[in-house]
Amino acid sequence: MPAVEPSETRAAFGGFLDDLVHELRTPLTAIAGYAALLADEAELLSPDARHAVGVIDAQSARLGRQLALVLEIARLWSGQMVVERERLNLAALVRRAARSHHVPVEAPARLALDGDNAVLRRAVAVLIDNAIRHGAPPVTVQVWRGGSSALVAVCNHGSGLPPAAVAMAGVRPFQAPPHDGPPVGTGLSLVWAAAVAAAHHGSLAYARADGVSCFTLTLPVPRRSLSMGKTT
Amino acid sequence: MARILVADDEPDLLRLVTIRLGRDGHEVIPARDGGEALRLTLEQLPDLVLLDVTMPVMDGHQVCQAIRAQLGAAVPKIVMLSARGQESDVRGGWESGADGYIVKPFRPSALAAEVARMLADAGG
Repeated sequence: MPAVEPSETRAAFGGFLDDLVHELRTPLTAIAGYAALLADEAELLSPDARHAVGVIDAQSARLGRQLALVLEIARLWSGQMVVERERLNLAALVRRAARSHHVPVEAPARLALDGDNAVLRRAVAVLIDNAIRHGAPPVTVQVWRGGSSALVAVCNHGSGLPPAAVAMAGVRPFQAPPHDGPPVGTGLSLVWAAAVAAAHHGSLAYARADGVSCFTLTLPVPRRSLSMGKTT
Repeated sequence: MARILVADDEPDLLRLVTIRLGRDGHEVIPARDGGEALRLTLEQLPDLVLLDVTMPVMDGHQVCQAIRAQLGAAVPKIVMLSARGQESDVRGGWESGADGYIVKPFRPSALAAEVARMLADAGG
């Protein structure tokens, strides 16, 4: 029996996930759809029944978002989703991703990269959102060039991932520790961000030192690009 | 109000769409596979056809192409319903001759709005 490369296994599993998500969308359409029909007649329902319908509606919407994320992961793993390769300024991309979160960004004026602008911006936004929701302030973002790589570190001063979750971050879903309130999140968005990094021949890593937890996106830079200047 | 053929091999989804469109006063002609969808469309000439893509006997693309080939200028608006929503899937729908493409899971209200838009287009 020929040896199977890990990348081939992941591609095959991605194909399986792609089919599975499509299979799950049909029952989800029925569950969410019938809940919506009931919600249209909410005035005829008891308070408990109204609450039940609201929960089904909200949770099925959440499931739909998660399935959409799994579908993108599956397509990235299987190679069905090919990221764009346009020349972009990573520093500007990160600033745009951070703007709506009001998070400070330390970055050079320009750091050239070949990649998918929209997908990478979403990945950075996911890391920032993750730090805000599950970590503790201050949340900071740094962009720099190290050798032949461009790096984006999103850091926070929370308690960090529990030891059992460290090995799973970006690899498989897990329950994240909350900054405040009950445990939330599945780590699925980090798996997606890692899949985006891998599709750009890069990686996503987690590290904690001196009370600061950081997710760092490492992406290869084109050979002839140079970073210029440094602004905050 | 309009006469709308709805084809889906999932009885629960067929009933869901039938109930929602019925609330807007539309008459729904149900079909449980692609062959039945084509036969009923040619017999009853509905104002609009909603086709699930993956169905027994004939898939939605085949039904869409057959309706267009056999009805010519009298063809009704045709909308595809599918769990597959990638760009290539949607493009496949257009290439089969569909006028619209709705991805599952959809909200019944969004489906009703798209139906209203298609019927307004057809009327205009």
